[in-house]
Amino acid sequence: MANGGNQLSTFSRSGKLGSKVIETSEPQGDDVLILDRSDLRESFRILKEDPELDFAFLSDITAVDYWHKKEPRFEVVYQILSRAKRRRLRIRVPVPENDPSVESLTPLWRGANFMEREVWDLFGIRFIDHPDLRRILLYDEFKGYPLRKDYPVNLVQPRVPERPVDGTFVDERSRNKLLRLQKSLGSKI
Amino acid sequence: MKAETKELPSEIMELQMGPSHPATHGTIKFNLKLDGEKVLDCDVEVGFLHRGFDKSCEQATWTQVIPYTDRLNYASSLINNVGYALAVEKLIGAETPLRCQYIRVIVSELARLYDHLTCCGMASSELGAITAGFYMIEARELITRIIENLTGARLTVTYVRIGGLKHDLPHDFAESVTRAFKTIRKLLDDCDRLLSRNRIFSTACRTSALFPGNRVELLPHRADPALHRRRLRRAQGFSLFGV
Repeated sequence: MANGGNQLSTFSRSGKLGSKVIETSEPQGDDVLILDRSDLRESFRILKEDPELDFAFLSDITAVDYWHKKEPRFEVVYQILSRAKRRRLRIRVPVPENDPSVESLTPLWRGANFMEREVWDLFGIRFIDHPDLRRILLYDEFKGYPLRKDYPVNLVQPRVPERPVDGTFVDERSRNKLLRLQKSLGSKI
Repeated sequence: MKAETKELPSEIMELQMGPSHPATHGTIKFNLKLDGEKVLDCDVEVGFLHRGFDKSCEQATWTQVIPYTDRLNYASSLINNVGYALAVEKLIGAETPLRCQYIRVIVSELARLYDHLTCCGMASSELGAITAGFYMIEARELITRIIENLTGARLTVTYVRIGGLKHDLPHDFAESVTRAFKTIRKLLDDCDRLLSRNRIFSTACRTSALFPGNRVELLPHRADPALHRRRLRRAQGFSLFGV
């Protein structure tokens, strides 16, 4: 695989990301970097804008729940790509259960917006400084975060009452007719 | 006297398009803010068709996931099969025989053509060029028949296995593909004549959703459809692509 190579040596503790690098590894020939979550956006800014690294394209953001398997419980996983250098890099950021939050990358890549909303929706990991952190796939009344491992797969969510939508045209004619009939027929209807 | 053009007074209209709209293939809702014909803001609600495959896969064994991958995108289920199998093989460090790898590339290319024909056909019929849309669907049908002959199913194929394939190619595969592609080339020539110089189609394609100077990196995040994908696949040795 042409992906490997010795690019990981750039990220030694004395390298560009300094002490933010917790660990580097190459499982199955992929380059993986474990980063500390403090000043995360600054680390990504270096990865994106440094001409020697040039990871300008953000492919994916997702998360993993290591419930009862690992501490800290969550890891946010970023896949970035350098088109010029033809290299991919996976970045894992450990996130503890008691404060599941990382800095948002939306100011750097506008495309991070929806992917971070998805991670918030399904894992309940909060992205600090995100401009619009709402649920994206599920509805607002949904309780819990379904991709966490402690969310049972067959859990049934309660029914939600219909939400009135501002500015929707409501046809009152049939309701008025019903009220008229009720008045004229008394309690028979 | 100098003619003076006056703007009509306009009011911003909020319009909810969807969740089931004839112009969308599937359920999706756009909360639009319109000023006349101009779209000022578009808030997309995408969750209507989320089927929770990822959660279902947590309960399944590794091989039981393959039928789920068929259903992720019905137009290229073979590619989804291959992608999933490659990922699992990478995890367990398994290598498939060379013949299997070649067959996987061939069927992936068939599925890719199928997918492109679907998307281009739908796009052209959405823009009013319905004839070209039907011609592409006819070409797509020929590929569907090859896939059906190969796997026994038209859409949900479940052809790839971890470490291999369900079975080998049928004995008349080469001839049937050659025969089908003679017809497909003719159909695509017709589509070319119908679309490439069609004013409405080419204007709509050339003036909307632009990449300024091909500098995709600077844009709001875009998965580039064809721009560098082949080059990247080659650079990273994705299966046998680019050998």
